[in-house]
Amino acid sequence: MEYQSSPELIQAISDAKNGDERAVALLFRAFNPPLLRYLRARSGIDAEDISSGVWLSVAKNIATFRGDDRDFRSWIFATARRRTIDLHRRLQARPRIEGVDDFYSFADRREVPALPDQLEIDEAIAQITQGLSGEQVEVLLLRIIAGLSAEEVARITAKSATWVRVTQHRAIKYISKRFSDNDVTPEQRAAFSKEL
Amino acid sequence: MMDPLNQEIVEAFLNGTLPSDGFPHELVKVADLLHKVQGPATMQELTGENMVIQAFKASTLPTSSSGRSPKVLSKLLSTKAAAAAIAVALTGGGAAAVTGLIPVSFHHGLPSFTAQPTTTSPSTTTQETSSSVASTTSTLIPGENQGMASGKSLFGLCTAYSNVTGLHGSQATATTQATSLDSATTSTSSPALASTAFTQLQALAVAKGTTVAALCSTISNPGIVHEQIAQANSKQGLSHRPSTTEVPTTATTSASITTSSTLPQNNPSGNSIPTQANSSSSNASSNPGSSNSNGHG
Repeated sequence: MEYQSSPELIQAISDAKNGDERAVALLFRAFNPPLLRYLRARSGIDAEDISSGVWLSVAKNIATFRGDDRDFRSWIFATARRRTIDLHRRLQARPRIEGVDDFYSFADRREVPALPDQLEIDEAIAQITQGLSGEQVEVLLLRIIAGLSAEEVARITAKSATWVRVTQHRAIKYISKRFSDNDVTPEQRAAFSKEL
Repeated sequence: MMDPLNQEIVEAFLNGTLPSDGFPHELVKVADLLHKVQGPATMQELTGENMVIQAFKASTLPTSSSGRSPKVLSKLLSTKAAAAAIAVALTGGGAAAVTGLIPVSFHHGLPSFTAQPTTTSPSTTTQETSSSVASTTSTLIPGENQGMASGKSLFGLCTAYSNVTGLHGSQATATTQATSLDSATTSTSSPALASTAFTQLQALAVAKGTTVAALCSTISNPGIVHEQIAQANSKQGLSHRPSTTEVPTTATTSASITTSSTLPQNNPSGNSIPTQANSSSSNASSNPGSSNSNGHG
């Protein structure tokens, strides 16, 4: 659902620059849930850490921020996306030892269990993003969870708005096809994926 | 058949404005999933609000008159503290040994020594300490040669060293300490002997061209007889009973006694370490958790 601008949040951004607690709380409650959902889908157990880093960065730079709540939302998710990419780069650069449990998979098993409503959301995200390419997941999450428009997603991902629309169209088509019939053979599914 | 997923429908899909009727069930199912993903916030997603508020408040704090923000100042302070710690580490505590000021951290491996006041006033003389002031709540022992390597700190370290080796009793004299320490240096069975404080003690002995035992034998006992404190206190109408579990405290000015550093040590508590009386009140609040021995006797 595309994000609808709110005069309350615009005022809260202005007040938060002065350290107003209620304004900061309002911003946090409005933007942290979608931020965490996006980060959980992209970074797994590192979502909380990245989210904290994003908010600290926002707190540090809020004085120089110019724009409304739509811009603020876009700013938050752009920061989160950059940090997620950085994390993935670091993980890829890290040497892996064969036969040893990956730290993150190990930690994942010990993670504090999510509450049922949280599990429902995470499960829904997992069903949506299952089988999609990384770019398709990125575009869908920024469109669905962050509520950004195709143009905003294009700016964040440094692509064209047309590319974003094409990517999201293919992603939705793939998902609906996946749900359409359960009697699709693996060969048909592979051919369909190749077509996308 | 027309493709049900044209661009407008996909946009409506993503915006959550897709009508539920007239579309294939698979699209409706996907729309349901999208709706779930965009659901209201959960409790888990709202944790950390205080941290963010504090971060915003900290970032908007006014800068000080010097133009440095508190954060920058705190960083500077941390740097200075780290530099001081490094300096102590690099000098190997030699400065502490020379001045008689044993850093608190050195005492961490010495259970009986930790609560002892670790700083002494440089202006304190033997004369002053011989007339030090006893507290009703403290096991005070006036010391001698404060500020030098043969001071109370070193004596306490020697005593702790011998206690750790398990070869030294509370009634031991400096001579017997020397004997036990000689043995201790050859049988370092206790891992505590590898602590920084004991290493410093051994290094000091080596620097002086002697052994730990010989060095400790030259350190006179700055201790005071507990009974004498009790007697002094009883003369003041106060009661005091030394205890092995008593936490030494810094003396405060309530009962004055005159002692001499040449008094023989007669420590009735097996494990207690002679503690220091400090007439200065600057350390009065240095041990807020100290226990009050009043009422035990």
